[in-house]
Amino acid sequence: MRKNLLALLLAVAMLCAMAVPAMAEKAEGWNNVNAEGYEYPDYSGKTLSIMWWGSDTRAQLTEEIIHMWEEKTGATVEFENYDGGGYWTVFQSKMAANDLPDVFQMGNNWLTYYDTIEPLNAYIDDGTIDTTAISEAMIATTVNQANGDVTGMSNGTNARCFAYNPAIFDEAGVPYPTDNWTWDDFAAAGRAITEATGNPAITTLEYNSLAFSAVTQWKEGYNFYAMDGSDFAFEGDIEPLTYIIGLLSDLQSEGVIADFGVQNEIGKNIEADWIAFGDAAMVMLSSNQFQALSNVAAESGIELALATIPRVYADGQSGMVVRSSQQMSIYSGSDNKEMAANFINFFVNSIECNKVLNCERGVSINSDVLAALKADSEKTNDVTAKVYTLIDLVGSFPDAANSSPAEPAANEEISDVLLKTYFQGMADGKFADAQEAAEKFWAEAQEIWAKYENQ
Amino acid sequence: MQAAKQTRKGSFLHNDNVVGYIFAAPFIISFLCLTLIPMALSLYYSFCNYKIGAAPEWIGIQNFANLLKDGTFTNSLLVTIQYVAIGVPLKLVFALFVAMLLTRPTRVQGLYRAIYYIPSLIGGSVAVALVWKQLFGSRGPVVSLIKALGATGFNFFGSTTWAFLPLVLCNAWQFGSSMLIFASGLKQISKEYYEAAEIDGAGAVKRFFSITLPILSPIILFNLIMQLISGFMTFTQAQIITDGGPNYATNYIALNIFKEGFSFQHMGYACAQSWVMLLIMAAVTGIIFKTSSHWTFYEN
Repeated sequence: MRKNLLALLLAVAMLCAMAVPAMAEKAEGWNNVNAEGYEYPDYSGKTLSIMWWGSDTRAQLTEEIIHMWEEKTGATVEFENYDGGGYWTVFQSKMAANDLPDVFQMGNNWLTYYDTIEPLNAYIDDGTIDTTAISEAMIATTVNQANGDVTGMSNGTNARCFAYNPAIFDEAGVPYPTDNWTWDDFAAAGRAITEATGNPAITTLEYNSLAFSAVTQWKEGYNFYAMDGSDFAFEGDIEPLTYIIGLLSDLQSEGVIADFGVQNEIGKNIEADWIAFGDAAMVMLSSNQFQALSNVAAESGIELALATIPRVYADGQSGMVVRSSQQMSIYSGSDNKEMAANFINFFVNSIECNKVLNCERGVSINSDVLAALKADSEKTNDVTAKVYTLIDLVGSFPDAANSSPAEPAANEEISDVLLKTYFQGMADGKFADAQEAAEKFWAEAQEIWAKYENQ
Repeated sequence: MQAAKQTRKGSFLHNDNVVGYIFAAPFIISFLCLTLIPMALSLYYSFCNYKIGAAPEWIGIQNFANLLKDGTFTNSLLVTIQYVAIGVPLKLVFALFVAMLLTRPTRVQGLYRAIYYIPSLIGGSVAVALVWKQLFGSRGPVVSLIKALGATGFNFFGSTTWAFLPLVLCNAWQFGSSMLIFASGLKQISKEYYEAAEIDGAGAVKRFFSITLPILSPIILFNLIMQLISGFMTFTQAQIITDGGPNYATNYIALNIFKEGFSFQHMGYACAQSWVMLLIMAAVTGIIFKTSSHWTFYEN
């Protein structure tokens, strides 16, 4: 009897020993939340904290999927959300107090907060964050090019672009933007529309981003910042900067682009843009904002379309990039990293979850999720289809992959100065011409860069 | 022995000073933790290259030296002084004017005071700033009126010359607390002075300048200093309405400090700026105190 028992125990022990390596080498896609019969991990009694920024719509959708995850895993999720501006102030206070939440939304400014971010490479390698349906290129949108660290999982991709009102173009007898329209086309269209309507044709612009695009468009190999965010990458050639500062300032002084007061009034609130009420023909935006803008425009019976950023040369570089709109990152000081990785896995990969979110943060990077959304006529309408088409188009531009995914720490200040000192200074007559503004900007940009090098 | 101990314990708790300290403890503790320690730290950081989340690195007076060369900082000092120099007198004159209107005894005087005080209750809130942004915005009623008078293309917030005006008016509109203080001061003025002056044939203007203003001068001093300090610290409206623009026309010093510290990560430099601001405020207050003996009048 005893012998038998001993034999049985030995057999069990042997089986267990054999099973251990088998369990360590989990099959690829073992944590695929969409797989039939997938069992969510049990986190009963555990608490995960999350923080994000965004609109009320985003807050409602995110809360909904948080409750979904709580139900599936038994975890309790504590969450906070702020508007885009207030978020970073809170973030920095929490950072100073070592009190950041386990999971937080992060922007392309992740280099600035690098020490707070846990690289996700290990979680991707062991499959906790399932990437079987995510392409390398999509993962690359959040990778630190300098060392290969995955700084977060993108919540979706977007591209900076223009929304326009085709009806106003028709009225003014101006052709619609083409996929490779130029700054000259842009200026001509704007001038004709302003003449026809008496209103500024263009309301808000992201000046820094347009200036950086112009640099990329100017010459192959040029970028305002290097891919790894370690330096500038245009040899200090100020010609593209002179060009874009001159062009946009001229258009503004002619009343084709709304003055800075109007631009600041509209601010980040895209839903308040004049284009939504038929009073402007073009506005620059991030493609994931198009849905919200279109919803407001539809109330006035306006149907909007999307266009690319104009180019310097029609056959030249696009200066556009498909980028991560924002990402979910794990706090390096978190005690719940494995649980956080599982939440991100659900957030990025679950079809059920993303049917709720419906690309509000950007076009999903998971091809299964995207296919499911596109196949669902309730989730994909004319408006979202336009966004998908634009992202596909930009993705097909050869130079779209050459722009840096990382914003260097100095970017915030350089962009602020470019807008307020140079573009707004031009409007205020502080510079003799665009060349003077461009020269002084380049000198100041280098000074600012040096400050961050020494920090 | 036991009894003696108890009495000592009892007398300790019954000591007036001890009771006082216990009641003052919440303030003392919060003053230490929320004011004194942060101030001391900020003084230390102002001599450091410091970014939140990183260790501060001592750099001596480098931050202060850089301030002298910083055009944006100098500009924000100038626009803040402009804001204070125009905004504070405007607010005080307005507060005094309304306070005088409300000292006439009527049945609904209390109601009026409450109504005029409401804007101050909501203080420097975001909501007020947003309303102001609409009111003076490019499509708001004020600009529409100006446009109807013939100034096409005019827009407060698009003009470096005029952007400050709605902010100053917004501040002046919140005159309630100064008004209440003026009103209580006005009540203290004995009616006999006015009656005597009236008999001597002094008109309303003469009475105001010869009786009301001199007797009210200590109150004016108090209000002036309180408003100067809050004027120098103006932040919310500029951040919400203009974001410091256009071209830094409303980039007040507190907003500049916030941007340097939180947006641009130069917390040490921001601390240096706030200490310079403190010194300037102290100097201005000091000068006013020093000169006040020449223009304030104490009855007793």
